[in-house]
Amino acid sequence: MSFNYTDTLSANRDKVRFFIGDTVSTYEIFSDEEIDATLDRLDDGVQSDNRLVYKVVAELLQEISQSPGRLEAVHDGVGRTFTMSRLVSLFSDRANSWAGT
Amino acid sequence: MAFTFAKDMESISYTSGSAVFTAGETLTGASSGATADVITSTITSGSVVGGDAAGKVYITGRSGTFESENLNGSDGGNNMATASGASAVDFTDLNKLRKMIGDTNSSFDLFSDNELNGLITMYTEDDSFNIKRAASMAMKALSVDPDRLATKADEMAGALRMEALMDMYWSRAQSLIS
Repeated sequence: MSFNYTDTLSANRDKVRFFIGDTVSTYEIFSDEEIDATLDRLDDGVQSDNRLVYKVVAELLQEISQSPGRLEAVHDGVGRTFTMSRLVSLFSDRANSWAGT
Repeated sequence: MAFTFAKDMESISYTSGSAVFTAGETLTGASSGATADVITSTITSGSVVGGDAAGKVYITGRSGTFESENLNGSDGGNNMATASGASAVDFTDLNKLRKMIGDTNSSFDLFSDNELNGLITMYTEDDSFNIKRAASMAMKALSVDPDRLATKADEMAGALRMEALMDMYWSRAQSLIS
């Protein structure tokens, strides 16, 4: 399992990491392989790169909202207090909105 | 992580460019004696190699008034280009985007230059940059990224709770493109 992020956002995986806030390897939410697999699965070969990225972001945000382990990674890096149930609904709402982007 | 923003950014149109402008170098007007520091530059026609590059050089910290004159650079050397006239207030797309999303304090930077330039590329079509779209997307990214928002919370000295910041950026993102 690997984690790479290049801040020039030239690759779709980097764009996805940027939009879901998963850019710090120490607090990895998704591995490269998980993101790449989702990009491959949702790529219909017709839609624009941006559209594909939005679909993947929507799906991964939804996955974060359903996974306590991944939500832990979301806030572990900053040492601030969060209400987990609030984070669940927040990520779920964001995911639904991205799906309609 | 490079961070570029200048609230006093201006540009000078130039011709006869024969050396590359380097960020941070000091430009001096050969006749006026005006000075300023280079932020970045563009080439819209010609080439440096050919000595006929033309475009804009973006500057900050200007002192004095440039005029139609040769430009001497602390790195580029004397007569590296010819100014077409006085400088004018003019922001790069990166500067405009930082201003729109409130990411203008290098001590509390939210995004790198590379990230925002990546967004500018994503949301530029037919040479037209959709800044509202890019700003909205940057703020959407912020709204799910406590790592970055912690920076903003620090800048505000803890005046807002993290979740409130996440909601605030989300609603601002939505309002920009609604």
